[in-house]
Amino acid sequence: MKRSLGEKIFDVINYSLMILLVVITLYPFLYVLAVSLNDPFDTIKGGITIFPRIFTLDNYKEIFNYPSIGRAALISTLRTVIGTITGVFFHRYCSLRIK
Amino acid sequence: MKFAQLLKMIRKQKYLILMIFPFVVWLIIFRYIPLWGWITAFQNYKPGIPIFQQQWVGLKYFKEMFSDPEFYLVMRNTLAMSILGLIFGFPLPIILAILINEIRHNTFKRTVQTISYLPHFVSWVIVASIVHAMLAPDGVVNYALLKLGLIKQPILFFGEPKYFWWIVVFSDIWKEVGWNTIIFLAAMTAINPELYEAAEVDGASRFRKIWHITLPGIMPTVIMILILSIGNIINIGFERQFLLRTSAVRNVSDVIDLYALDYGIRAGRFSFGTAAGIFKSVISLILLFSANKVSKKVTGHKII
Repeated sequence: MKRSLGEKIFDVINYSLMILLVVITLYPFLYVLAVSLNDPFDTIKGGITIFPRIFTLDNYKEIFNYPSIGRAALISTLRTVIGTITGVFFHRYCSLRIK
Repeated sequence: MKFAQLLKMIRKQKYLILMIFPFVVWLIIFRYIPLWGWITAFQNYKPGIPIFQQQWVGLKYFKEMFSDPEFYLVMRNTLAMSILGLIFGFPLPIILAILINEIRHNTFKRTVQTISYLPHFVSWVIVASIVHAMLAPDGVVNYALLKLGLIKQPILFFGEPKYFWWIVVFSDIWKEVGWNTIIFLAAMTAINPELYEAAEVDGASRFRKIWHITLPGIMPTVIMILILSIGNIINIGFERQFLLRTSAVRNVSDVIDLYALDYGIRAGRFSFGTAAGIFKSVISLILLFSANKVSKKVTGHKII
């Protein structure tokens, strides 16, 4: 299919916007990931972008050594699983009438 | 006979009625019976005493609320953040859905969609800490603004009240824009492809097709979402404000739900909290029905 110049420009702008959206959405997560893998004292100095500067797993070791983390994770999981199952079930049936 | 007809209908649909029965019961138990508690707003409620032996005080708590200057402050904040959220947050998912719909490359389309949903699945606690990190004086936003030469000094985003509403509104958009496109994209798939083919034959450009086919095709969905959002203007919740605020921005971050929580339930004044809740529900209902009525007059679409 032949595309006009206007459409080509539109495509370029559209793809650029989408890539921008992806960057804006992903960057904060990558930043958090980098900070979580970085030495905590080094993090305070700032300037972390998307790669950890001084790599360490200490932060994760500390988190998993919290005595209550297993229970917290279990409760979160159960809440989500039970909530989703009952939610879908109820919504499905309540909305059967509405068409 | 009307009654005979009704009986006949019930007999005909008995399995359907049987299926929906538990959910009607659920709705009554969890949605309507709790409304009974509303009468505590008109009492000087004290826990532990049966509801009918409580002391009746009439509209005392409503009067108290309406004469409290703090109440008007929280109403201003609630309405400001909700309305800004509606103005900026409502059109963006529609625009994004149209743009995503126009992507021809299927893998790229799916990738963009999936990534844009991502923040929706992260809780506000995490998002708030991310927002704080991004907007910190040495965060990426200040870094970019400095590099672009737009500012000379890093901005203290959480130190000045004037930024707070925008932070709340735009972090909400960041989190939910992708997710909110789903319903519009679903509406777009329901548009008859023959319309596009016919437009093609007539020599319509892509912009014409968007304007004359895609937009009218999703209009009923757009109106429905708009009416529901307007009804929810006052139901602002408090998670975002509670997690994002700092002591410097207290005056612009207190919203009606935080008010009901702080001055009602946490202070042990259950009647006052209930009165605030009733006020919210009434406003919400009025907004919902007015939006529905206006929409019916203007566009012919309605949901109730």
